[in-house]
Amino acid sequence: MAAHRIARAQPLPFGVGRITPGWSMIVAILLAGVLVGAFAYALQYTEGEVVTGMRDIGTMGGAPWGLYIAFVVYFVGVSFAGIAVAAIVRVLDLERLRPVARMGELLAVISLVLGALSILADVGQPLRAIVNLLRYARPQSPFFGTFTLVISGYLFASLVYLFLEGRRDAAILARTPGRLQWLHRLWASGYRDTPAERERHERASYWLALAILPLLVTAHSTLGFVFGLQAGRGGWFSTLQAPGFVVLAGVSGLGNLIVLAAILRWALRAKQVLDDTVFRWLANFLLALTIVYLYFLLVDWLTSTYAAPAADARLAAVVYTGEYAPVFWTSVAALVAAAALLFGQFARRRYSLALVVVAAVLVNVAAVGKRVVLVLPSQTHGALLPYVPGTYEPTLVEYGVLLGIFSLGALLLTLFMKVFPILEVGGHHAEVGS
Amino acid sequence: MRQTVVAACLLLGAALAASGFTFAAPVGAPTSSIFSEPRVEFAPGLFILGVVFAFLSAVAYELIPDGERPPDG
Amino acid sequence: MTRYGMVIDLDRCTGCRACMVACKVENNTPVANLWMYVFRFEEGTYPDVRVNFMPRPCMHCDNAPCVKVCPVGARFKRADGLVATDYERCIGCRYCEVACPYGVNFFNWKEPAKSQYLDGKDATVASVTGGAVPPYDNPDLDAPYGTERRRIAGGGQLKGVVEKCTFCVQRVEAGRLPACVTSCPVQALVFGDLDDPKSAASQRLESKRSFRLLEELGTRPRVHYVGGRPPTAESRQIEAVRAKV
Repeated sequence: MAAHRIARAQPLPFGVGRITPGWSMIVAILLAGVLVGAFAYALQYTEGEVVTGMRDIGTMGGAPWGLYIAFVVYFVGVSFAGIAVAAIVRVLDLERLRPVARMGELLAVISLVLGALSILADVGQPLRAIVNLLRYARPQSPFFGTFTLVISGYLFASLVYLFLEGRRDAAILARTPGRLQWLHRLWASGYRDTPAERERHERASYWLALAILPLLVTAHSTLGFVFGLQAGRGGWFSTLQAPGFVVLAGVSGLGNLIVLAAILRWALRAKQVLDDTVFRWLANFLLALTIVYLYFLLVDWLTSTYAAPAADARLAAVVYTGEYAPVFWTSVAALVAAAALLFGQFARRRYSLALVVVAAVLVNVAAVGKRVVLVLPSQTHGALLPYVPGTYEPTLVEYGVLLGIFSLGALLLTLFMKVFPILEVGGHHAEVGS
Repeated sequence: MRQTVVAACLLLGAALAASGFTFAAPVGAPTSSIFSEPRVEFAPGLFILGVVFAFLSAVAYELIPDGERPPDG
Repeated sequence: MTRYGMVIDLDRCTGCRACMVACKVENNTPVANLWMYVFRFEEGTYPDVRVNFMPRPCMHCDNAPCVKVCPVGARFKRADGLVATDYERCIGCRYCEVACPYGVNFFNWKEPAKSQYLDGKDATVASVTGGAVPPYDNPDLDAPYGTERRRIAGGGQLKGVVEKCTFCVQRVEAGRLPACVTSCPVQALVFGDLDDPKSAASQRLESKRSFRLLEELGTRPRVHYVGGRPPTAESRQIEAVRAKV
């Protein structure tokens, strides 16, 4: 990895603090997206959730959880990558993955915020939800883990990680006078890069990583339990739910990270920092998780078709050959294609960035599709009493709100890049100097 | 000094999280309304605060200078 | 100790759905929210076709999945057996609805005032009824109930919360029977203290073979069915209600 020495007179690295027309245009587009989302949500808030495609189970023949919940699961899943990569870099001492560590942490923080927003978009009484969860939350509800461990603990841990890992770069940047100097000084919070400080940071982040890895597994399992503990509908009750969530979270998170890293490599002309080794590592990691998930799918398929109880068998039919088959098989095809692409490169020991990115996009398509297939069919077709099967068709309002949430995430990322370098500035051997 | 603060932070975090869990609604087959009422209101908030404090200990560990040296050396 | 339950005699039910109407009138439930629903089933193939009926209130389970999953304790089990919803605490996450195997929960998708069958302020309606059309302003529905003193009665209280059958807690606590029970022309529905072997409900339960719906799930419903059998995979709904908000 190249060691960057930042001279005093030079501008801040990676375009920090420089507003370019291209950047402004992106921000404008994203702001427009956020506005669309805000408008859609305002409509939903005033009119009630009748403007969504969700309806009650049973005599109303609908699904009370729709795209919002599917995307809660997706966003929380994406957050996996950040902390996983950052923590694994630390615990296994994988210096090669260091360049994507900050990006990953940021991705984790942002996607957790988006997950929380999706929950608020879904509940009928959002303001009450914030207060009542703090006031009355019950540990027995699988949601307890979702909002204490996932949304709060995990988010805070990611922020702490981001802050501590960024102090060194902040100290480097703080030497350059400018409008952002105060922020960098604040972030550096007295970091001087003495050997003692370095060692302390190494030790702190090692232990932090060790603490975070079990939290990671717990957090994603908790979300799996939201569905996996429910025996009252066909299709959900399964011990595979929790581990499946952990693995699919890793798949979608790594996929996102690869796409983001590729975009940044191009946009920031950072070929040296984000070199091919980084992508090779991420690709192999993604390949391993994708294969594990495909194995889970196979196990699930056999379990639900061999001699499953009637309700589960009916649901399996709906998913594998019925109404949800297009979404399901598209997801499976995307996963298989991604695994094949990655494996081909792994076997030949030759990596093409373009193909890795294609695989990363494919697994994200699959992750969204699989979440939809997980959340919806059990509601519309999983009734154990002879109700007529339900339907669910998302409305423009739901798409609008989700567009707003996605735009907000991209906007936060874009804004962050202008106040702080998203890639590591001071390589391991650079000096902060004094 | 640093060790003390870090240890205090960790302990406080663990204690808050533990008490948050203890004072939240009991877990069990819900046979009466006590399973739906926290023993102390805002106990779940304490739990979250506990998690926050536990992770703050890492910040304290890094930010607080060593006791022997003057902070600005 | 008094622990309420309901016994539904399927031999007697004629599928008239009077209970559904009584429930709506008593509880002011918004359009499409059917706290009480009567399944009308047919089984077999022509000419050997059988028709039967099955009322479905909330089962007020003793091991209620909805109570377990409620993140804020808005859904709770009372010591007297009722499963109640505190509409002042509910955050509208609809987890109860997803967890319940019986499909008895209803979310208020829009402002309840805009979601009633008749507009009481409409001049033509008012001229006929003298203004007495749903939603009736029934103060009983807004009072706190039980030892918990929580607001759990009535439907159409708030937008964005979940509501369901309360066993007409406002009537039961006043010593009266639930509206569906009183309106049943053939007394197919019997409500009472199942802990008291002399109560009408217990006696009806003892008189015939009984079952509970989806008992294999371990939910331990407090609604028992006598004189019939549970729906099977063969049971098809006739005139299935597909209510729209």
